[in-house]
Amino acid sequence: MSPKPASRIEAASGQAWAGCLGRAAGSNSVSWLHLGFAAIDGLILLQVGLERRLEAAAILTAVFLATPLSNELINRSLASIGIEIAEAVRVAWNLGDALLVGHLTGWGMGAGAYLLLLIVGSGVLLTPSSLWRGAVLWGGTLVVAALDGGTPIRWLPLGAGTAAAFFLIRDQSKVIAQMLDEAVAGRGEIERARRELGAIHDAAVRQEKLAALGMLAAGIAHEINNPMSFVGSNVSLLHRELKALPTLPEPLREWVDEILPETLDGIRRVNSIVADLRRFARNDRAEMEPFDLNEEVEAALRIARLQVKGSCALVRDLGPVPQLLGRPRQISQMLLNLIVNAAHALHGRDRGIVTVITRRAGDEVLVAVRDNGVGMDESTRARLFEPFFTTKPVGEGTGLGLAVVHGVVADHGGRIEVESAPGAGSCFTVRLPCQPTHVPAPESRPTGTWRLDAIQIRAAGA
Amino acid sequence: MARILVVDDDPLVGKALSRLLRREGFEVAIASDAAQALVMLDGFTPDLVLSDHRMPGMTGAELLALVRRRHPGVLRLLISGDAERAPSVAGDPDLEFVAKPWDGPALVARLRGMLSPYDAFGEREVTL
Ligand SMILES: Nc1ncnc2c1ncn2[C@@H]1O[C@H](COP(=O)(O)OP(=O)(O)OP(=O)(O)O)[C@@H](O)[C@H]1O
Ligand SMILES: [Mg+2]
Repeated sequence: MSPKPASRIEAASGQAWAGCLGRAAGSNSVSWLHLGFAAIDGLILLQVGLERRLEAAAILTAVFLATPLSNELINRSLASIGIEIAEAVRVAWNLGDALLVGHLTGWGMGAGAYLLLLIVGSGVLLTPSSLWRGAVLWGGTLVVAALDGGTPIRWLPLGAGTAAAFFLIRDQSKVIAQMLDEAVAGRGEIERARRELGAIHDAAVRQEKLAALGMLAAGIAHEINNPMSFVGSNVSLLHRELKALPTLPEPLREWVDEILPETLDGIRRVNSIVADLRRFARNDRAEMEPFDLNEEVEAALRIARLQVKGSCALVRDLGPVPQLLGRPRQISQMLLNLIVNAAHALHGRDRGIVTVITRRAGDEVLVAVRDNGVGMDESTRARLFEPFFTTKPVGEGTGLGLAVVHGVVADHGGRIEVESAPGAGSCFTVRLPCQPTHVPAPESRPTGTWRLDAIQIRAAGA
Repeated sequence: MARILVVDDDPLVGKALSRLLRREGFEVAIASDAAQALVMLDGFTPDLVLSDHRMPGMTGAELLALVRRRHPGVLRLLISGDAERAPSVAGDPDLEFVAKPWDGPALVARLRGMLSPYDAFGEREVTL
């Protein structure tokens, strides 16, 4: 074979077939040479033989061609393959050919975008397949004209001076590449759908986990709250009464000056954790009232300024937003938690910026808190909203900030989305409905009811 | 001397509240649920009912709504750890509310403010 077809075959994404029949005229006999060539994914198959009878050679060629053509990929195609030993005398055909020419049976369903032509004699051959521009057998040389618009390939005759029967081939690179693309795109589509389903499932599992934790938190908060209320009341009463005494025996001085204030501080800390847990568990049944989101952002920023003490820039980009119905104190608490987290993520970085953005988006209002800080990895993103999940050292974080945020968002019938990647900063976007779809009626039963709402957590840029 | 009826299903909460209030010069009685409170309203005749919200049986808000109807002259204050504001009960919009855990001096000041016309000692000053 000339180098050209070889290079074409190489270019053919590893799939090409060729078969040919040749008349080898010796001094006292005539035999038929059959030759098959296939290159599939780097594997090269070659079949060569001599047969007395033309039919045998033709069938062997056909069988050869049929074998690789049974490739599943090729099966999808309905292009025609057939072998003709004389005009209208076909010895083999495939489904595509059968459809095209009208035969009802074939040698297998293995179809391909392959056209096999067997030419006996000479003349102009016009192939039945539109894949071909045409082939001309001329002067014992088969010229396959303009395959794929490329340069014509010349094939030398096999038998000396004899018009050889021939056929071949088609560089399937385009068709196959296209089929592969489709297959890959199809797989991509399936993969994407699978990933989406997976994400929804993960979110549901997370949500369920949070719901269960919420119930637990509500129960614990209530159970702790009562004893803490009388412990606190009694201890502070004791402190006040001791302090009011005109003289105090020396050992009691330390109690008044140190031990009881420290104890009260501990009680206050427990109370604030319990209050956070309760906010996470959303069993605050205070009624909703109209509020201005931008005002709450300003309020949260004022408090945040005191806490971050100029360690980073706090920028606000507040768009016009309609009045919302909700619990403004919870909303500003939520914003404060997000802003403080963002500021922590910027710790020790120069040019740290926390941006708070509000916008109206259709029938939702969104508020986003964005930072260009350390960002989060997958495992952190997955557990963010769990109460007591923290990556901060003991004493620095309780891990309730985002649990409270989650509770507040859920309570307002909203959604929260997180976009973050390590080193790429984080953005928490809260979407609140302009018209709350559920305004939980204040009710007296202890456990908060949980609603499935969507938490979306994505890697940044995904 | 003003009389306060404390209603709480947790006896230690009731005792802590009454201890605090007694020291401030109030006369205090404790009921452990709404049913008992309703009986004591007639016997003890309080000036003010300070009730926990979440209790078995009738809730504090329901109890105080009933007090408003049956004893219009009696003041009412709900105490609860469950909310930031008083849960609303139909037909009872002006229920006052204090959060649990309470702050002793603030609670006392609040009660004095509410009770001032009733306060036998006329004490208005706030101990903080
Ligand atoms: N903007 C952010 N950038 C990077 N990581 C964040 C960001 N916000 C939250 N995180 C991660 O999520 C964890 C949980 O946050 P959360 O606010 O719930 O608790 P915390 O900040 O650790 O403690 P607390 O808020 O109770 O003081 C943090 O420890 C941190 O790892
Ligand atoms: Mg935090």
